[in-house]
Amino acid sequence: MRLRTFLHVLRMGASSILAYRFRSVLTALGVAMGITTVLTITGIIEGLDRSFSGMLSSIGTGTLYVTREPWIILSEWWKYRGRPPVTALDAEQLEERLLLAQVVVPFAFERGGVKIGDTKLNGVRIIGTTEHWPKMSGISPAEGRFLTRGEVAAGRTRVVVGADVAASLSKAGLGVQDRLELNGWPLTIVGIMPSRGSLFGQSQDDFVAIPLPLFERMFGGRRSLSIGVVVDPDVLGPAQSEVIGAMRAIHHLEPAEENNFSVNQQDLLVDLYQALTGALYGTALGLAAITVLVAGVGIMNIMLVAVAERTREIGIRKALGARPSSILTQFLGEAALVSGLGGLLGVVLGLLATRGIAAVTPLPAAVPTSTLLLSVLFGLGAGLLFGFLPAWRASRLQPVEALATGG
Amino acid sequence: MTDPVIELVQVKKTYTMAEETVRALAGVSVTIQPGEYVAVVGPSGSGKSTLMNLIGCLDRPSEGRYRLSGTDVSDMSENQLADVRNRRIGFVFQTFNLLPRLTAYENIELPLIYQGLPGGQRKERVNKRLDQLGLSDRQKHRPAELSGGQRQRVAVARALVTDPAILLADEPTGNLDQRTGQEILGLFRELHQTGQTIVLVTHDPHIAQQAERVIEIRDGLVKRDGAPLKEGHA
Repeated sequence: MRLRTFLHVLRMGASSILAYRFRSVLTALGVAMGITTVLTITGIIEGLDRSFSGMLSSIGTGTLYVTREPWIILSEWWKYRGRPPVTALDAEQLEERLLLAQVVVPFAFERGGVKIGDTKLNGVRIIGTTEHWPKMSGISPAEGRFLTRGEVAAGRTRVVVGADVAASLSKAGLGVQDRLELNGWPLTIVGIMPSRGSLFGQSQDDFVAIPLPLFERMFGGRRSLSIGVVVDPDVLGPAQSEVIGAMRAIHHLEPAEENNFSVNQQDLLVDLYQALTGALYGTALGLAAITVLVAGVGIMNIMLVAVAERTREIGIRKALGARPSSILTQFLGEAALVSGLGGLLGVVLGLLATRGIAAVTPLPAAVPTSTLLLSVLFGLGAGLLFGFLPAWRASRLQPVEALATGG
Repeated sequence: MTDPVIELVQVKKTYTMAEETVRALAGVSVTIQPGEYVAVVGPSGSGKSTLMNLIGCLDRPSEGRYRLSGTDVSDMSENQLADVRNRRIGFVFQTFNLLPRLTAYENIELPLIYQGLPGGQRKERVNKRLDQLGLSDRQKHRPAELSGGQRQRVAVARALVTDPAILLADEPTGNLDQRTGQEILGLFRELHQTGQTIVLVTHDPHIAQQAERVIEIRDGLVKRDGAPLKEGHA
């Protein structure tokens, strides 16, 4: 078809949409709702991905975690009940035996109250650990220094605070070298850690770190620890074998006995995450398919009505020399325009929805630009696909019969 | 010698409607020379509408040949027929058949758009017809804003804008009052005098008298073909 004819035919489609404004808006809304749904779910998944990769980077790709029970227990939880605790002694022996380990960091968590001057902070995460903790967590003090080997060994009353706690300190006009009270224990602040922001809506800066022996004096020494083993990510596999071998030796396990400890790494979380989001993606795809189908049926219905109503117009155009392809293009263009506009509207609504979610929930929901473009194209495509049958019918109408139609 | 504009040879047309075969044209042979003004008359059901549809290339004959200006159009494809309608035939209908959402100008321009003519040439041709039919001050109006006579003049302008071989008018005065109808018939006479071939389809013998030749159709056959009968004989 000639370009001039094509342009005219598209212009005619646009003017029909204006002429049947209400109906066109309703049809476009159908498409828009579909696109909005899909974009919102995509935005949520993207937000989960972002949070998750943030979490992964804080866990570190090159760290193995030795614990009593595995991180993720999906079944047979009773198998883990009789296991001995993982202790500081295990950590010391691991450090001696492991060749591939860059650093071995035992640690434990508790929650406790921090008192700064007259201010009380409750539910602060208390980390009992060693001087190597910064190497595992990847953050170093922004001010002052971390705990020293001597302080850890002697279990001295020293504390390094996270950025949130530091904020309360500076409000009280306090800083490094000043004192705070942790569960009633007076401790001297030696360092302040930089801010790491929040993850899944939880601040990562709401903590204090103290020497592990001091931690055990505060909370009792019978708990099971976690031991972080930092290795070169390239040798993660061999390192894991080495850690398992060493732990079996340390725990005096016979060859036939099962491990009475677990070695965790990031992969476990990745697997779990992928299993969970895989289901979510599947649901999103299913929803997308349904909404597209509903919107598509809407488009087809409205275009069939349009063709029926304008049969006479089609007859006139044919009498004046419109080829079937011109009629086809006119109605296809109309369908594509309506659903393309619906796609555009859906993108706007979807963006607003994800922005809203990002604003009122901790999830950093967002829609990638490529998805936005794809959505508009998708709308156009749906129009072309579902508009085809009605447009085809229009183009095949016999001029004589079409002209004989009333209206 | 130039080819006849229309040359129908033993044209038949049958329709199949729910197991019943209706013979609308039973073998019609008609030849119309360039510049002729021909009226096709007959009561409803006579087959004259079918004949008009065939002449206008809106339909194809079941049997027989139809040569339009020497070109056989009997077996043309839909696209070819569309192009023939576009370039060779100008339709004027009883109900005007203007597109309601287009202005007078845009209605007249439409066949030229389907022809793919560039904007400048379209403008020139449309303006020429607007002037010819005294519609220049109405070109921005939509059909609903025009009187019946004005609408039919827009339709005539649209029919003529492609310089067609045939002006094919189907009851062109049927929806007009007496005076306006006479105005349109006067217009046809003028066009005839400039050499335009006109085929006028009507059921009204008085209107048929306007033509220089009358073809009477009855029961799918040509009953009479010749000069119009004198007033009073009809």
